[in-house]
Amino acid sequence: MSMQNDIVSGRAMALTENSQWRQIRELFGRAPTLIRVAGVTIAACYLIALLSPLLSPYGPADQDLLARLQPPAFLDGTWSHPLGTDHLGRDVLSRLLHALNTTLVIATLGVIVGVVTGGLAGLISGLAGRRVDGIFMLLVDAQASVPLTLLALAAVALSGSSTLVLVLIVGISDYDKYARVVRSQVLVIKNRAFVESARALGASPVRVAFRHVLPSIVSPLTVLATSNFSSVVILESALSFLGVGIQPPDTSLGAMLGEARNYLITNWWLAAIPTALIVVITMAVSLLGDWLRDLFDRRLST
Amino acid sequence: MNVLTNQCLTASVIPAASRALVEVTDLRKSFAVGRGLFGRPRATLEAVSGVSLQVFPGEIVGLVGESGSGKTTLGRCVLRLVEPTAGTVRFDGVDLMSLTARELRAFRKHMQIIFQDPYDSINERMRIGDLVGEALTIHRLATGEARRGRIIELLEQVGLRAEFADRYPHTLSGGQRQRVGIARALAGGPQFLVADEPVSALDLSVQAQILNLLLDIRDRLNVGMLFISHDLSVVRFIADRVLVMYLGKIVESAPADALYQNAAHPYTQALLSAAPITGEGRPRQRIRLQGDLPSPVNPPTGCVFRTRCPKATSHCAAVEPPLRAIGPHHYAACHYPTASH
Repeated sequence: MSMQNDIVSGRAMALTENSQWRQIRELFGRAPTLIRVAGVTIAACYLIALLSPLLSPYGPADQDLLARLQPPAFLDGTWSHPLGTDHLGRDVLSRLLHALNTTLVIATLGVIVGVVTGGLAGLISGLAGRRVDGIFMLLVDAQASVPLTLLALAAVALSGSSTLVLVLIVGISDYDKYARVVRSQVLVIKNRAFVESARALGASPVRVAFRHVLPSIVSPLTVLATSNFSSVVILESALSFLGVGIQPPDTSLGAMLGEARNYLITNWWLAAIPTALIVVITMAVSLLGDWLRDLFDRRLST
Repeated sequence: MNVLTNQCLTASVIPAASRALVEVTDLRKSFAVGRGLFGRPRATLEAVSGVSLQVFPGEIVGLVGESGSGKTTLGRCVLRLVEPTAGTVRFDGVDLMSLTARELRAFRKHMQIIFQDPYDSINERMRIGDLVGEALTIHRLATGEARRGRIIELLEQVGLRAEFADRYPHTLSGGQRQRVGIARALAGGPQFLVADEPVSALDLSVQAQILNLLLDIRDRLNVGMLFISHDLSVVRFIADRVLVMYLGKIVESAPADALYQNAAHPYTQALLSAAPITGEGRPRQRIRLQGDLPSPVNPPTGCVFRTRCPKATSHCAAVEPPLRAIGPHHYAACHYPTASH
């Protein structure tokens, strides 16, 4: 028992508390520099994306056909277009900020859609009986066996491309992962005595699910959502690159990359700039996700 | 045999005039063991096979048995936390088996369970006040200030200070956690408690405090209690009447003093001889049981205990001994019970 008390008072166990977020903030302060840089980068990206209409020197779709394909300032360009212009003379910096906004909105909403649908599916699957579980797991397996590109093309062909459709596609593409993780956690937790204790008090199945089971799986779900975020960013970029994502003149990081592919030899920075931003975002989020997972795993293993 | 079983267990230590609070008749629970390709069970395991028992208001009935004897499953079945396969449970005249899921949930405030491991049975993410007050919320017994007042009253009833209400469980010791578990069980105002090994996960010094708390609660609230334990000295301390369970069946039932002084069933005698002697107990011979508990998937024919019984004869293999009276309020399921009284 004394060992258990030690663990309880130990830092590793601190995450079980309700004041989880304060604990995470505290742990974040002690995290390696790289993690803190990653965290600040992500925060900065969101802030910049939020303020993109104010920060952009030009409108994202404003064309200046006389100033096409200008190089960025650091490659002998002018400061009137710090990151140069594209093939239609649009300011790359303005487009980049707008694209960042679009990509982050789609990725964030997509992750939320995935967490909610996958989480609910996993929760129901884990708590309901054998038959319901079988049906849900069949759906999840079916999801895993359909090529995503096909699904995305079919969805866009049926309903046309819009941000909403893209969010749904990106979100649903990952729901099976959330469903599996949540289900396996639920299967463990539902046999814990505190869940039986709630049932013994007369708690309804809904109360048991949301008040007792769900709070215990928030940590692994957070970790999974973070590590999936970067794959969602890349997926959105890939779909936009293929032309089934964001439609011009609207743009996203992937769409910018797609438009730039014709100029790879002559104007390589058009592709390099959005690519660099994609790399930075996905790296930063992945690092954060790994750090969170390590924290959580350490707690599990103690 | 059924008739005999009922008849003999109806007579209890408590005067026959008072009505049983909980009356369990021929309760059975079997589990499917292993499933084939198409979900058909390969074998069934009868964890509880035909148990009848009664608990009177204010009475603490001890239920002892080794691991795998089915005592925990029996406790769960009595509360219908685990759905029994057959048999009836009447609670204060209400047939629990006839209740719908919704009715059963509403009925649960009358009967509660105290769990073995206070580290597993308490949700770490809830404040102690909310843990204790959960039954009040579920059954809409109190809200706002009244709820707060009742929570503090419950905490004080189990010996915890009011300020614990705002804390989280990780700040508590094992004994304090178990007190929270007890307060949580008492919140709905139950008349019946199943205490499933409530002290076996606790330090020895804390065990006594918790046992005294349970006795105190019995005296104050007049609740009936089914106290499940594998620890004979704990049961002797707390129980008015003791049931000994072996392989899903009750093999002996007696008032606590009678059982500890004059055990009639060879299994009970073996259990008692294995327990350390405290105080002025007369010297006893240690009875060693050979082998393990037989598999409940394949129980022995006749008497369930015969495979390990020093007295077993061919008669024991052929005929199952019914539970029958061998003394006042004393029953044993054995063809050759030790004469007593």
